[in-house]
Amino acid sequence: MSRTLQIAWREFASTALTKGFIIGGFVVPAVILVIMVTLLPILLRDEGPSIEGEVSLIDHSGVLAEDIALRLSPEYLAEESQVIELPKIEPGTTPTPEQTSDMLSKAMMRTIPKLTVNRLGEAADAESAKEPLRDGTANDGGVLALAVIDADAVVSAEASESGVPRFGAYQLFVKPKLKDSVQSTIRRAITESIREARLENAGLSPDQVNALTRVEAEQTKEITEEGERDSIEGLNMLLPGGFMILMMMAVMIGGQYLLTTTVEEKSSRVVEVLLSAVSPMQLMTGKILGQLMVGGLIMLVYGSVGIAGLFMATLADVIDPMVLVWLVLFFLFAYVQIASMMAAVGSAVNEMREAQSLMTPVMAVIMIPYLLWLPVAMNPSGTFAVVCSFLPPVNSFMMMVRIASTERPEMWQILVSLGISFVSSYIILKAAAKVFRVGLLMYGKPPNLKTLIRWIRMA
Amino acid sequence: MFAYHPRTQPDVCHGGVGLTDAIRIVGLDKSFGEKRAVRGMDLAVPRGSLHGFIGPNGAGKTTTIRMIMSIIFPDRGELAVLGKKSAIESKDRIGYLPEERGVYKKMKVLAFIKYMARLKGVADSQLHSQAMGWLEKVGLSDVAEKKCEELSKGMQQKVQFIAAVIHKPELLILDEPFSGLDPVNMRLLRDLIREINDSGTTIIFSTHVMAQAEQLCDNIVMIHNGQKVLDDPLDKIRSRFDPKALLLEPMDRGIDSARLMGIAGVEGAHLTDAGWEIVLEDGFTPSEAIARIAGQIETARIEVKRPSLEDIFIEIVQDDSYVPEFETQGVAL
Repeated sequence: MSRTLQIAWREFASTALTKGFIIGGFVVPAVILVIMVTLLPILLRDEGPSIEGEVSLIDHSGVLAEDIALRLSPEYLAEESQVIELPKIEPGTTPTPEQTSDMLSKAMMRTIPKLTVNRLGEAADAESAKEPLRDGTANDGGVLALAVIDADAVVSAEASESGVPRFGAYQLFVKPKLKDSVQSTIRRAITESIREARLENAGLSPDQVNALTRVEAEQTKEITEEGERDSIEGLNMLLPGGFMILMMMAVMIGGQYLLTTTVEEKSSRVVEVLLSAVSPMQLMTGKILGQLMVGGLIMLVYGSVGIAGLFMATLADVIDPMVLVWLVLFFLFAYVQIASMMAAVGSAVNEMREAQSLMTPVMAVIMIPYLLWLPVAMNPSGTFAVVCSFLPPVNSFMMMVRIASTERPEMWQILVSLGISFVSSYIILKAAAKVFRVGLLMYGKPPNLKTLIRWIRMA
Repeated sequence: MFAYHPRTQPDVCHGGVGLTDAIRIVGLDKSFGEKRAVRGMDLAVPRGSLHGFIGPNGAGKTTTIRMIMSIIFPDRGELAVLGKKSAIESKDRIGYLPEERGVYKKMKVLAFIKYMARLKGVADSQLHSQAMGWLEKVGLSDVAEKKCEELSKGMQQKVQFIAAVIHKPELLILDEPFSGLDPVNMRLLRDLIREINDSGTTIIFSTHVMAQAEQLCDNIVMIHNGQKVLDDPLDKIRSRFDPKALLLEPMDRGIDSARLMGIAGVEGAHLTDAGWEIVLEDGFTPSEAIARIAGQIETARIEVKRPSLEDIFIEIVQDDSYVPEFETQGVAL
């Protein structure tokens, strides 16, 4: 085995074949995933403490108070909540984002507030009725809300120029920090009460109107070669983001380890021993290759888990195998760029603390794709996306977002971006090698960016 | 018994002519910013010699060694190492113990030595036996499976020494090899260095403790302010800087200088911690003077004062008019 490969293997083994890496990189995420899958649904079903309190009502219409009181009674709310069923999640499967969101909102609904309605009479002064709301917060109980219903909320007092009747509405005042779900419950009760009263007043049956206005379309279906399946909204957006995050994670983990091991070798002075056996370029190349294997391992494991998940959800066909090929190629270039910068920074400083200031430009490269992936994924063929996918050193990440999106870029664009990645990787690697060679044996005051540029020129 | 024999390869350089010197340096210059670390260095280290680089801290010893090792590169000048234009071409034939000690703290001792041996080209089949042989030799076989960070500083230094010699180099460069060692380990290392040199390996070692160089070296290269100020065999240096003085310990401790000055051939007498230092007049040999003094004064001990390298160094750096003898000789590559 050549010396470069010897160094690469030691770098990989000392990083990836350690308990810390295996536990931190794979065991802990696996445990978190299992907990999320098994415990999250249980936790979401668990009801929190219910809110108790009073809702003051000034009903200027004179016809709604009783109905609103009924709709806010615990019995009515309990009966209403039983109508809403939690989505069924098969054991061992991960809920989709939509299911999770649905479960969250519905779980909140299940915490039925125990509200009593205090009818203050039409002549009551609203300002005086607000006074109890000024004391304490919703958690203290007492008067939680004041609803003031307009006199013309049910019967129109005037009509617009086009003859369509104009109705009044209501105002709701609440104590600070009253839960959103309780506010929604009160609003829904009053709104429904007013709506039904208006319909009855107009001689219409609320049930009939409901039946006429409700359209319950079935889930959108995707037609594939294997058959039909439910369309998952947002998947087309999430997939490019998923690819970019996978690539970013692999690049960052490999790069971060490279920085750490380089600083360690320099600070422990083992670097001069190594330089007596290998050249600085062999050392840097070996270290980059070693951590490339670490990043590749991370990408392989997490990518495999993701693809396995898609297989289980019978969504494997959403990933074109060619996308995986591009992923590997763009990952290689993105990694070489970030890792070269990390190696240069690591060689220039004496300890990790000193690396922070020099890490700013590297972090900028890493943060930019995070900030840009969503607009690029939303409009992958737009000018902005095209420009981003040609702009080094973020082009590898951005092109990957475009490739994984619904609108695949033209082949020439992918190849040009790949060429740009190759050239920029070469330039960054050359510059980093110069800094690495000079920096490794430089001790004392850590250099600034200006000094690094001087090193690049002089080496 | 584990024995040390350097691996040798024929040198081919400059038109295929074999060279006898392990290292040849001509006009080497190296600056760091405004600081000229090495200035116009010429040097020839014959094969099989044991050369000591001495000089105070910051004199330029480590910089010269790093240039020999091609870890840093000279601004000007040329060098040849084991017949090659650069140490990079013959790294497997060179052993190097740097001044800055370093081991992989989390790595086990045996694994570290094997790793370094692999990088130096030792065959896989010999790795284990070589590594264990050396560990036994330096008394560290029981820590082979311990992590390097669990060892004392002296033990770590011995591990590094093994890493420098395990591939049986033809040229061994040791930068301050004794720093941080206790007297027992110093003696062990000194014996190992001698043994390795006796087997034919060329050795250069640098130190700022000049007594260590005196104990080990055949040849001394003295460096001061980046310049070579002395480059000769130790015997020649001693004769050249002979102080023409004796050290006397009389039986009568109360003897005064007037009595000593009254002896023919004695130019001066100074009382030191070790006794009287007697300076001889020109024309008198030490044996003549010893006979005269011993005849007139009851003597517990009398010996010729040998100049220490430290004395010589101080004499050289304090003497503005000192001109190195080799200044006009030069070294041709």
